[in-house]
Amino acid sequence: MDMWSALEYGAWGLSVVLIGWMLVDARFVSTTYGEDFLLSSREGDE
Amino acid sequence: MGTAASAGQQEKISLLKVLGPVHVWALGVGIVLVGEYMGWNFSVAKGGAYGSLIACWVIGLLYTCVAMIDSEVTSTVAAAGGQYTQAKHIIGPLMAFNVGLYLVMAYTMLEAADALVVGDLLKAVAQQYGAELDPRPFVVLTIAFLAWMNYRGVFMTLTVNFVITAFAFIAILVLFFHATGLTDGHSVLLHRELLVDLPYGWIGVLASLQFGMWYYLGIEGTCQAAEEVRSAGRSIPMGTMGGMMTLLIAASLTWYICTGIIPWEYLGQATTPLYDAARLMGSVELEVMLFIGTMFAAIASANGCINDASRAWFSMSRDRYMPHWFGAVHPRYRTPYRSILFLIPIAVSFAFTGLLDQVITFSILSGLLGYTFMSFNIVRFRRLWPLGSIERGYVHPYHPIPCIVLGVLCAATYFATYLGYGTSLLSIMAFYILVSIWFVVRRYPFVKRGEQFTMPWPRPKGY
Repeated sequence: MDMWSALEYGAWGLSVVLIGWMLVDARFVSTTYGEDFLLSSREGDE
Repeated sequence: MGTAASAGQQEKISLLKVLGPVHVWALGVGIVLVGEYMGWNFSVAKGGAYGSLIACWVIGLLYTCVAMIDSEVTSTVAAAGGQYTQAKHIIGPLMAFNVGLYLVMAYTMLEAADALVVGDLLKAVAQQYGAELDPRPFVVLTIAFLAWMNYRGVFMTLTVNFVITAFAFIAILVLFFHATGLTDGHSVLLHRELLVDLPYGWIGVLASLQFGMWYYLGIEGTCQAAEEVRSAGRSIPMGTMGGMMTLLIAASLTWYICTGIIPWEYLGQATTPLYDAARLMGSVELEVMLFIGTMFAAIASANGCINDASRAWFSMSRDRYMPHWFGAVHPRYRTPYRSILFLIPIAVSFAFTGLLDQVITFSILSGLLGYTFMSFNIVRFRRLWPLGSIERGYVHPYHPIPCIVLGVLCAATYFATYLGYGTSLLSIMAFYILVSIWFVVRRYPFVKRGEQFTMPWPRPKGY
């Protein structure tokens, strides 16, 4: 496997890690906090 | 965490107010500056070098009107969503839905185009070393990394955008100094030999207006930061107007450098004109600097687009114009994390179509529809909330001249677009009409009408 192929696989891998991290974190937040709290933002709030 | 919760009150959460004028500048200029590195030069193919310069300044006038009008309205509307929120308060729900959708589509498609550019640049590097590189993993990585950064906080996201946007702007200045001979006394510019009369007459100049938008497309995105700046009345006008001045300088310098080095017949077809100009000057240092500048400009643009598209989607969802679930704020990072996540596969899908031309045209037309809305939005805003009735951080001068100029220039640009992309123009109009029908029939019944207006504004005049 040459350097360019390794870079391609590396890019795919890093993308999966980053998107996976966000999905896991979003799932964790949803199970830890109530929906009413997460959706409580209102425009104009200080 | 969130706003303070006192006894007996439900604990609430909000986006974090941490941004200043510099971040607003980085957001606006960051989205746009890639247009100086590529795209603007297609106006040269339509109208010749002088036609492109006329488009640069005429469209510059259009965007100056946009920046002034936006600065005034947004300095009173300290809410994410930008023009969507303006439309909701000033015109009504159907206009707001359409404007919100223009914003999401324009920024997500521009983000996809930027990521495609990053992939193509890396592919070009690999080709210089005799290798074949699949750009797709790098397109996905660009979108994933920038979404991850946006997910983890707006302050770091826009601080990074400031650094890479400033580099891209300085790269243009350095190229200008070298090209004009201000550094070594030897100018390489050949304007006298290369500049010719209008090759296609004034109709060519008119046609070039569409691509003249590339010089400034996206500067209006600054107002998406309104809910996250420490002082909307100060930061939004300063960041937006400062950004507009930066872009007018960058656009004029870009035109001056490129038309003095590259014949207009080639310039009109170049993929990366500033980088090509640097290569023709024979300096490896300049070539590397402009390559990095091109890459940074594309990344900064995609980064700003993720920020803006997610805020627009978040605002629409918060008001239930879209599923309410997307209106959540992350309790730690204080970002609209579900909206950021949701738009990742949408952007990747647009990028994987490979139809860069169509994606960009759809993005430009969505932006143009938004500017048209602004021209009559400000008239109604001044009528409903006259000067003195509401606190404004900035009052744009000579009203109503800027909104009339904006309306006329938008009409001219529609005509220019019709000349080159008539089918796309009609398709996009049909798309927005269809989704408007869907909104009225299926979606609006879910909207809790009273809850969408929580800004502490005085009652409008006449109501």
